[in-house]
Amino acid sequence: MNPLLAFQLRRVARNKQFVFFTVLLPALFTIFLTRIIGGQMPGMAERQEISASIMVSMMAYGAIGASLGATIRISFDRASGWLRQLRVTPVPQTQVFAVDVVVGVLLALPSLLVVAFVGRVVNGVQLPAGTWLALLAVLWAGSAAFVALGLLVGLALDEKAAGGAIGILGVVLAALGGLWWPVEMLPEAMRGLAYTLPSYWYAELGRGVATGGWPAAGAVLAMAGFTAAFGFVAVSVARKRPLHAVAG
Amino acid sequence: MPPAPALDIRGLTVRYGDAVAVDSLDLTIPRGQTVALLGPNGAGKSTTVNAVLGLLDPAAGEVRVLGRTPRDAVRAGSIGAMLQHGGLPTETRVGEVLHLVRRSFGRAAGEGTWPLGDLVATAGIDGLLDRPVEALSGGQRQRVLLALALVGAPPLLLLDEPTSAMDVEARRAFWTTMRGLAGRGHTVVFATHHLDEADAVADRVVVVSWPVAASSPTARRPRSRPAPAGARSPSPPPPRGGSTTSPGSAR
Repeated sequence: MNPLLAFQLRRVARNKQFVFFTVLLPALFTIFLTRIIGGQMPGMAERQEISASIMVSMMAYGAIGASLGATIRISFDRASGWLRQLRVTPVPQTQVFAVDVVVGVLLALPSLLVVAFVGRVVNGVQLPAGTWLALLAVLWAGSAAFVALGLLVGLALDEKAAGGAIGILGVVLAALGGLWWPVEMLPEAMRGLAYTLPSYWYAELGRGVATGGWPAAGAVLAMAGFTAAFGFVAVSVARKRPLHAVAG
Repeated sequence: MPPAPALDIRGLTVRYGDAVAVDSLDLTIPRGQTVALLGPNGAGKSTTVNAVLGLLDPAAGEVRVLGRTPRDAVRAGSIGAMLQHGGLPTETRVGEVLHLVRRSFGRAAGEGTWPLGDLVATAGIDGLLDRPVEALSGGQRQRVLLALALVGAPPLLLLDEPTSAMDVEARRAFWTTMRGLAGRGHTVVFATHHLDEADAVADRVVVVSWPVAASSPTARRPRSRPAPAGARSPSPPPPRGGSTTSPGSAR
């Protein structure tokens, strides 16, 4: 494995907050929400459906948190002077950037796997084997949008602003994007807002697959669009403000 | 053809917006010399160091490190640097950071890096390898940053105010180390605003003080004697637009 990649992965794994918010919390939410909401459902079929839906939402929630949380760290590494220090070693700058992208992509996977495991084992969600794999695959691929968004925020904002932004972004994306409750429960005006958020389309991507079909074309297009847009802006910001710049 | 000098700076001019930080600086440092860049705060020392590392783009002039551009020299593992605004990553141990940087140098140079035991003694980081970076004191942090500059055994060492966070004892140990390095054939260039430090350690002192000449003739010869007080003391610069007759002036 690339030494810098191993180094970065180990650093994130040591961050207890990261592990708590991206793996443990979504897993616990999956259990509690299913107990509370699923328990009110009259029949087995409805209970199955709501369990699967909650699981997909929480997979999305965990993966979003992990992708954002892992990549936004580039802002902290800039603030500490570590990126500047790395810049005067033979490690190429493109590698520093690429490794953070890979770290973001890789770290979305534990959240997806753990929540899916909890969904299957604790909540009894039943899906055909192929559907499980397809669900993990589309949600893993879709997390690229949030890797790009996290890098964008991490590159554009300073340490404190980035630290605040991640909390706000996580809550906004989850609450307004329909991950903590279905968008149908939101007032009309806010429902419109949900359709503009990547988190909504990300969960839609998963729900399309979990119900045994293909992901909706609209969801695929939306996610591709968000990924391209966030990625483009992130690269433009990186060009304007090199990784080693201390401030400004 | 003689080998390229360790450092060759010609007509280096750096501007921050409208302000001129370094104005057409010429400086050539042969291999194996220990050179102090002496000047008051804001004189352009760090700017010069950063230009040599390719951290900023000069408005004019050229920098060559062992015949290479700054970026190529860094990538090739020819420079080890201790920066003023350098730092260490969180959630790591000292040894892990050293190992990472050491590997990058090993790959670039395709040759031996500094033996670890020797490095630990030289940089004075004995017992710190297993320590979390967050648990380091200011002085220890400084020594770890020095170890990072040394770990690749690069031919050119660039140290920007390396002793600023050290106490007297650490300072003395540090300069003993530096003299040892110079003895092994490394070129050491360091920025400082301490005249005594520059004088005690360097073969040659280059004064960087706008608008008084940088690299005055007196300062240019190896193991220079103290130049006239006016050229060296960090006195407040005369108003701008004063006589800047010398070619190498920096602020």
